[in-house]
Amino acid sequence: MKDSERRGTHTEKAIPVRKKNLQLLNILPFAVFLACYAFAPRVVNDAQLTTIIYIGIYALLAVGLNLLMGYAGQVSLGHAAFFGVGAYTSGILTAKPIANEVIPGVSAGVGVISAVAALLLLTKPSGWKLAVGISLLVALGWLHNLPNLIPVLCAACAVAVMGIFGLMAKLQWMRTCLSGVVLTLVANLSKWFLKGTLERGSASPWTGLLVGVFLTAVISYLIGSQVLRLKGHYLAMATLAFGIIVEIVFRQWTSVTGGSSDGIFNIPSIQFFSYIPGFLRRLYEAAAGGSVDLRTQYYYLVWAFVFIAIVLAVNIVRSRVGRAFRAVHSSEQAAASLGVDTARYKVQVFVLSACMASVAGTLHAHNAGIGYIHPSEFGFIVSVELVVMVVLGGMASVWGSLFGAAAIQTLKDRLLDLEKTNPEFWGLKLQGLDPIVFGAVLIVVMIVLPQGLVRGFSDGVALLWRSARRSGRQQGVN
Amino acid sequence: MLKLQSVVTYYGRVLALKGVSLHVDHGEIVAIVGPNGAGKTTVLNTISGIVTSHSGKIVFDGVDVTGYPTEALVEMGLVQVPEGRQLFAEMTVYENLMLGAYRRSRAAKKSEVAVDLERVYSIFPILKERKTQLAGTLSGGEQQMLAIGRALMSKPKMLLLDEPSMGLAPLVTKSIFKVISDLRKEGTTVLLVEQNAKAALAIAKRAYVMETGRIVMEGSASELARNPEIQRAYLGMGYRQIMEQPRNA
Repeated sequence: MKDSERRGTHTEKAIPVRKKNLQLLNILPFAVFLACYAFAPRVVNDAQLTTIIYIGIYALLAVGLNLLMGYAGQVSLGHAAFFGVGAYTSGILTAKPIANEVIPGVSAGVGVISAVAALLLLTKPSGWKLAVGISLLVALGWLHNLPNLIPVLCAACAVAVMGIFGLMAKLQWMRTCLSGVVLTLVANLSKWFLKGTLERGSASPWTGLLVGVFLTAVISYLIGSQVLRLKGHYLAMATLAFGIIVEIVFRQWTSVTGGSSDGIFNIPSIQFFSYIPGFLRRLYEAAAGGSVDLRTQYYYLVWAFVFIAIVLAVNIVRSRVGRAFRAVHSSEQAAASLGVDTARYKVQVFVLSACMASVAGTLHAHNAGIGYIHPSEFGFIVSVELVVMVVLGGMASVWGSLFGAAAIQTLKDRLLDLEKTNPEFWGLKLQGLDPIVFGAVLIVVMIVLPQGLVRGFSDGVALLWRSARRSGRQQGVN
Repeated sequence: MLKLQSVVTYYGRVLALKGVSLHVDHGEIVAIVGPNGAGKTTVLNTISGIVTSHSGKIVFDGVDVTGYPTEALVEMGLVQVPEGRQLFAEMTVYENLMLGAYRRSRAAKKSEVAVDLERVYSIFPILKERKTQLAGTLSGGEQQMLAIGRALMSKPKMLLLDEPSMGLAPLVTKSIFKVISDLRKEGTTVLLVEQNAKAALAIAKRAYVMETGRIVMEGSASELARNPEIQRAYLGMGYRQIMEQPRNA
């Protein structure tokens, strides 16, 4: 009786305390992350920095895949395909020269696409006509190569077009102003693209990024809307097949992708620091004591994307949409009976995670000092690696994916080192160990830590903490 | 309020409903009773659009909703509480309830949803106590309460309840059925599918008896409860008991 009473009061007390802890726990990882982000290049050497850049790229992939697998519960064994689409689109656009007469058209296309996307997001649901109208204006401006499309003029155009379409009444003034601002931004961005492209003779990496994401979104929508009707093993098989097909395309379409013998090389890198405001750069350079080399810059760029992806994922998971994802995972029928459009959500999360993979692909293609991509980097084994990362880090754990990616990438590096020494083991040459080791890791994790590294670790700590407290209290009683 | 006209449903090539016609008027509780595999659940799934009908017509609230997707029906106020609860076991009680308000929580104000949340908590106080607990850790009765509460969060005009008494202790069943009849008093129409015919007939106004995909009998609940065939088949009275009844009377 007494025991149960004590337990009762204990849980009642525990709840509010835990709530406070949770709030702290929500911000703490981000703070730690940012601190590590800022100071990591100061403490690691060159080789380690390379590994960290790769960890970042794979973390981006794993976070995206975790949204799909861990939260929405849809298996994908072909995720490397989207990684590859992003990498190849970006690589082809930036490494191969583009004929001068095509450039304005392509840039105008990019401008129109991004303007439509931005405005659709802003003015949903009634604004699609408006979006089309304004982006046509932008395109016109492009084609006539108006030397300086002044921002004010741009905003004025937006307002005028809204007046023409009679949407002023429908949309609030705030949205009108906002879309004017967005329009200005888009116009300037695409102008900048055009300028860079004309100077360089090939597309800018940012253009590659956008086009890659757009292409991936289209492909993943087409594939996802069909394939996601399947469940379980069938879905796994279908995505597997898709991944293999895409890899074959990369290997065989020699005229475009360079095939499996050449790949694509001489892909330019991104000088991240030239895009951030001058005083910030000078401040950082003063703190770092000298100019920052390309690899460090690239590190900052990649992990900035990782940070954005994590913030995005954490917020999605906690939102109404995230609840719907998890509901689909938990019981699709029940989710449907509550009016969750399960098919739509599955496709949405599939497209989202494919787009994240595409961004990772672009970053992979432009990797500083390497600038080379090959079909084998986007094959079936990579898809399996990604699944192992997600499972190892913990399904339905955003931060877990980060650790899963780090663990697998480090392991891969160690294996590569081992293979370089070319050891023989009872007459067996140790080569191509990755699949074997990852398979073993997957089995061990499933048995020992089914909830993944992070959850397993935190559960272990909590258990130790609780038992320590209990023994402490018992001593107090005694 | 709800009307089915000779609805036929197939599962693949298996004929599950062989032309079911029924109607539910505004503000009444109607029960569908019958043995396993009679097609009771299929009727509900067909109404709520989880299964599509092959032919026939479904009218809800004066609108022909045949072939409407589930989310459209939920928005119109027709909500199903699926068989076996189908809670989201790894999510908290609160999150389950919020998913019930899913169709509304974009358009409706947060304060409105909060009011409904309080209403559900007042109907089922235990849910408020357990709101941060994972739904999978609740007892059977609490899970059923949560399933009903979750459906109420979408402000339904009509509830489709599938086997609310499944796997519950008699006392818990009683309190759940009490809540169902209270809901009717507040103006919610209820179509109830039950194996526990006794409890269902006690709170329903009218009832349908289904066997192998057909409605074989219909009438007021009290009438059916007195029917000797129903008594023998579904109310668990022995053959002799029924035979002796008229003689003793």
